[in-house]
Amino acid sequence: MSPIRLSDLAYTIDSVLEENFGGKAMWVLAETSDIKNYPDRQYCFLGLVEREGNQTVAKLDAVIWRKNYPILRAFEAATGVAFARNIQLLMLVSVTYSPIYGMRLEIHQIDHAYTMGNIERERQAVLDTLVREHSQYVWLDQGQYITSNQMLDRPAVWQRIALITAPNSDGWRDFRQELANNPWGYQFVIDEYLTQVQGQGADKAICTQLEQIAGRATPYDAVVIVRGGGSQLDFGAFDTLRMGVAVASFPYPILAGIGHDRNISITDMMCHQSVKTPTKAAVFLIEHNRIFEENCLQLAYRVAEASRVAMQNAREEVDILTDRFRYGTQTYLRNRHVELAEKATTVRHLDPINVLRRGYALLSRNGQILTSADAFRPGDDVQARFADGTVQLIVTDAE
Amino acid sequence: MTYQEAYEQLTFLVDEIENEAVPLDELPGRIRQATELIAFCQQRLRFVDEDYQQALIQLQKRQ
Repeated sequence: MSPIRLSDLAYTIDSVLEENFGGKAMWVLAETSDIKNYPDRQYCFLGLVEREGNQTVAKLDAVIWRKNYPILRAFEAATGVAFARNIQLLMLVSVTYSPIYGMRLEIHQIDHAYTMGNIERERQAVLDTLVREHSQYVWLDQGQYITSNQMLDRPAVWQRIALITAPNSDGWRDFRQELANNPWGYQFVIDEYLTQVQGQGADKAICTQLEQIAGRATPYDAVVIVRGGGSQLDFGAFDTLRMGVAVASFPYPILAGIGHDRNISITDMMCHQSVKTPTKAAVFLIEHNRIFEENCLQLAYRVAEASRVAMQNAREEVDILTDRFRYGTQTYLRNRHVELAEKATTVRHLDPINVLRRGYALLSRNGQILTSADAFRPGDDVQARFADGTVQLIVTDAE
Repeated sequence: MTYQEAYEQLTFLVDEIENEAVPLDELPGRIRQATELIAFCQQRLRFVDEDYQQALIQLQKRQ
């Protein structure tokens, strides 16, 4: 058989492919593998694979040309997933062949809903696993996920903080500045555990830091995990089972400010308190401390007021007693005077001289005072003693 | 003697005088006692008041 030229073979392949796939586009499920992205030139080459376990069962090269290049940013914006390798995607592709570059799939669209659906499914699967296999740390109560980290008591004030964030990042800067510049002058002791907080492997990195923190001898009041809010991508690490377990079971309250606009990650659901941004995480700590200070000031006012009232009451009591004493003594003495005066009056009344003055006379015979009419006989010589003198009387008649 | 004790004694004395349960001979003694107790209570109040005023000043400073 005579050999044919390569280009002839290539053109034959081309026409076969054109015949079967020309002008057709189909929706394909595949996983991204190596990606060579050229944003400045607005095209992207990538590999698409299908795996079963560890085995790759299919692999094709793919390309996104300039006219379709916007679908990359659109995908990231809609799903919050960074366009990277090892992501399952549903894509509209067509089969292309060039004799020089071989067969490639040209990607026209990426289905956002499929990826979002996957994310949701995976997240729910993680939640189900958490409730099923880690029930001492995570449980459902009336449709809400409750965790033991949430149930931890808050200290009266937050002072010792373990900070997990990326070095020199916006998150680090925002959080630390907000704390340092708080208007009440509160001081915090912050130990930094700087590490990667986004992209693949971030969950492992964060969990390593959490283990270190838990292993420290001195306890912390809280662990703060913050991430810069600039990029809305790559929150995948915060949805993993590893993070979910670590956060739900952690012995110190975890405050998460990972800057996720749209969704709530598993980390947000498992932690003690979730806030929207690193700045808000700092504000949360400061306001809690301020409430404590205000309570103290309130107590101080109450003490002052209660003291004032107690003293006033004591003063009044003594004043009242003093009045009673004065008045009581006066009354007592007055009563003694009155009693005495009454006695004196009675005595005066009974004084014979005063009886005589009232018109009575003392009658006597031979010097003997007689008090009864029977004692007198007619013809008796009687002395009648009046207040002002004596008179001699002779008895005429006696009845 | 504590403020509480002085106050209670004073109350007792005044009750007795008001009820005229004191023999006249003992009245001068009771009057003297009562006057001393009143002075004692008032002095104590003055001391506590000073402490209280000081504490208020400290509080104002901390605002």
